[in-house]
Amino acid sequence: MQKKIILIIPILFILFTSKAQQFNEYEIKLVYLYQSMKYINWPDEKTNSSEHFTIGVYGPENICDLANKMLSSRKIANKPCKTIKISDVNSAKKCDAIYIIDYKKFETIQILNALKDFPILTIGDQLQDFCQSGGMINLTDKAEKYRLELCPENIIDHNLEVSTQLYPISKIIKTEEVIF
Amino acid sequence: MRFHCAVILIKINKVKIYLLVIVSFFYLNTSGQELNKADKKQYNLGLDYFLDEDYNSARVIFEELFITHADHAELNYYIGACFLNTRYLKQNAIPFLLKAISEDKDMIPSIVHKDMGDLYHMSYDFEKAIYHYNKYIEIAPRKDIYLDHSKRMLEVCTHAIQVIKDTLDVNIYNISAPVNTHNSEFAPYTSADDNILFFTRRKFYTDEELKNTPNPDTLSQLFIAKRTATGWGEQSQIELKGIDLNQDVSLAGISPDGQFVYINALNNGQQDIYKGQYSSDNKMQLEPLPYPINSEYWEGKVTISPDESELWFSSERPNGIGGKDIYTCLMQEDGSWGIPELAGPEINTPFHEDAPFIHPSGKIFYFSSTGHNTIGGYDVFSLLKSEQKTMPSQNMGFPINTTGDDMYFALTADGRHGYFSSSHGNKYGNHDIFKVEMNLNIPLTILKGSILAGEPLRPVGAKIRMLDTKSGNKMKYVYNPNPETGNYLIILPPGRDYTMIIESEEFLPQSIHIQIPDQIEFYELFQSIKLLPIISLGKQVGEHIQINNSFNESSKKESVEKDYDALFNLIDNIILQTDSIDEISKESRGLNLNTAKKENNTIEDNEFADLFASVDEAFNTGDTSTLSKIYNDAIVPDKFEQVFLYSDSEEEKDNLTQVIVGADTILTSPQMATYDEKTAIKASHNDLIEFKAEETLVIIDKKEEIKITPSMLRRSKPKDRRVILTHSFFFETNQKAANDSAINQISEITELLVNNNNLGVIIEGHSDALGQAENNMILSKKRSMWFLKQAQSLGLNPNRTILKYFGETLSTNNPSYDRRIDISIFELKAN
Repeated sequence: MQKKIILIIPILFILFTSKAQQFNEYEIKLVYLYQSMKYINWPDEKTNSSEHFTIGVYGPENICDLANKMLSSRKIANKPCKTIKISDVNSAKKCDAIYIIDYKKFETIQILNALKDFPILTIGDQLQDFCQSGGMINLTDKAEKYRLELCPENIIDHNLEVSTQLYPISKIIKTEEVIF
Repeated sequence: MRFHCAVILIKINKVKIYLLVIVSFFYLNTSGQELNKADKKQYNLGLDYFLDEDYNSARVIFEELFITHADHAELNYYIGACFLNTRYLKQNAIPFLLKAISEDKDMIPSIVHKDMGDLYHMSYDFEKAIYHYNKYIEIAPRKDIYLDHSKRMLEVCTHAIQVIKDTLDVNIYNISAPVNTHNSEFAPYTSADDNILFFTRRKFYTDEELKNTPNPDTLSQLFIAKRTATGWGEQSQIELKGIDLNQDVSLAGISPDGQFVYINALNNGQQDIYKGQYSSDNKMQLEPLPYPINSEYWEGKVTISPDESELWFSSERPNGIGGKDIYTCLMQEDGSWGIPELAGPEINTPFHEDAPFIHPSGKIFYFSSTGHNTIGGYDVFSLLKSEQKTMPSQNMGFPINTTGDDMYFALTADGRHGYFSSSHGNKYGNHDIFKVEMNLNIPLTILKGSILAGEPLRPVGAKIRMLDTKSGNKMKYVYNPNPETGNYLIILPPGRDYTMIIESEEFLPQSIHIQIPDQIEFYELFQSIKLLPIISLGKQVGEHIQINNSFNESSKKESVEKDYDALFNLIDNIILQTDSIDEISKESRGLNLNTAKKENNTIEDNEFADLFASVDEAFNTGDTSTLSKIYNDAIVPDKFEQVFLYSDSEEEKDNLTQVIVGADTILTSPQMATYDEKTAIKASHNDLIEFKAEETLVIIDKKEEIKITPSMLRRSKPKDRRVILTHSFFFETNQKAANDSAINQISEITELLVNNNNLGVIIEGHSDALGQAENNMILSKKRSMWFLKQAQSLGLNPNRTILKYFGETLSTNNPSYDRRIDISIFELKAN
């Protein structure tokens, strides 16, 4: 534990003292997105089906471009990341993960319903009742204590695995708590 | 003997130098006697060119003779006079005129001393200028027309000695191409955010070009340049309409948000000020400013306060105190301009005043004057405006001010830079635009925003009224977003609460509270507003407003350049050493014992490397505080939203907010606070219903079972419900499902319900009176259930439904009407 503290100090020092560390909202969120995906396991048949790890973005083109810039040199499931903009469910079904930005609840539910039998990680961008609607990981507002909402049951239901490593930084949503 | 006498008018910038050339020479004697016959012939040829005002040709000949006759007084005199008639080589006249004076004092007219005074003044040799002005005053005839000028120039030189002694330590830059060219650029005005530059350009001809151009283009054109990442981008010429294009125009000023441009133009014999709105097609329709701002006399430049309540302009109307003066004018309650009043003696003098500019803060006023303690021509002066007392104007000092004309000074809203045009020391043409580093610290806030509306989103015609919330809602500021872009720029004193009233087409007026942080520096804040219609069954049933504010400190204009690489190696090393942390923290702490492993990625050396590393570390250690810190340090806007659904009820006014703006009362959708997050959340979800599982109603329909948990929505009384939308579905005889076209309508209704958690729906099933009453009751129930199940499959939680069925009990004599379900969507009233 002592080693842990000692090692964290220089990082915090750099983080808190360097004025160069001013990122914008989606730069931060894409890093959270990426880091979250590192703690997910996909079934072998899914990961073997393509040479890329494909992230589909339901959202603005510029965020998709930013995701490509930030993630294209990185790997998930030992495959290089590729980000594509999608707007229909058929395209989404070909992805390993989808990131839904600025969609209303009704549209989101239709997407999630269409993907309910597929091992595709679903990540929402501060979407209302995302996990309660069948989503897996929801990025939260900056004012929230936890950076993620996480619904392990929804993840498992889609034949994916999630590391408990994500739990401490997440608000865990249980499906029986669906109250809307 | 031939005697030549000529009066030659020479202009050096706007300082007129009159050189009275009394040419007295004798072909065969007096001072010409030193020349041999061949030289004399050349001399006379040069003289002919000189008298024909072809000074370049004359100078060439005189300079050839000068090689062998350097002490020849007249030759020196004429070479000096030729230089005086150039545009950029006037100073070269000094040694020749001095030589002429020293060689033959009696031959040289007294006015040469005045000219020498002017030349020395322009050369910043004020002591010598004073000597020559005094000499001129001493020997000139008593009623000489240049005596007053020389006496004034003695004062100017005295000022100049003092001002130069206090030279400012500032950097001045020529802003270069593509704005500055070999043509003449002048009268620059930038928007408050320094992103748009308007300027005037006049074609410049060299002396040689001018000589060979029969009809030179002397008309000025208006241009705009927009800032890019690397500086001012390519400029575009603006096509002006509504004025005589055959007359010269000049930029007269711009509104602080850069949307409105003022032009000084000669039209129908009147030199007036015109106003036009800039549009992206670079065409501008101009309208004259109303009387009494424009008059039958000359009106020049104009500036307007950020709240557009006060305007200053220059005019040469006869009730001034001399020359061009600056007048001020207040906007009246009815929106018209009041009677212009002459600005005070801290601005106006018996000399010329022009080019007023009020800084967006309203605290600093700049103008140009040939009076006060100018060091020559027009100088720029500043005046600190205070409600308590009138401060004296200050000469902006050297090197902003020079001995030439220095005009059109405008300071950017952040106080960092000033722009002005000047003819001195430039390399591109006769006038160029210069930028000066001022580095003033001005506590001022610029709110830059955009308002888009509709589906799909587009710019919308809107009016924004800014009210100072604390001062009793007195109307203060009115802004019109650009109809092409929806962009607006609002300048606000910091540390206050404001109410934005947004009136736009097709939407209710919006009332938004914002708080501008109290700051001691200049800040740019960013805001985006989206107005979205809520449409169901082809009807607009409400509106959804989304506001993103970036008001925190991280949005300060001067953000630090991202340079991540310097930290990357250090962090990378730290991360590599923390592998053991994984083992420590990989404890099972939740529901799932899954052991999915973290990916081993090679972190690329790029600008985001340290961000990835920091988040990676925080994820590994479950360090939520670090993650929050990363988030809080980022530029992340505060997001607020509110849904307002319309109702046709007579009590609808009760749901609106009454805002008094001056003499107007505006009914707006419920007020939205955007500065207190708790308040904002409350405002945006004030109708959010807590669903409590106190009782459970179980509806069993043969094989299917639907649990409905009573909620506040379900338990509410009809009088507490505000109906948003009603619709009926009709059925064929004995059918429990409506036709296929109803599915799309159910989808739209469900979308409205799902997207708005505060809505409930009443489903009322009916049947006709045909057949047995008991069967009809079951049929009406099935019809209600059919709707419920369809909606449920699309995501509607049945807890929000009130399901009723009446069988034939409410039937009419119209069976096709009776076979129906009535859908009624409602929300609970606020109180």
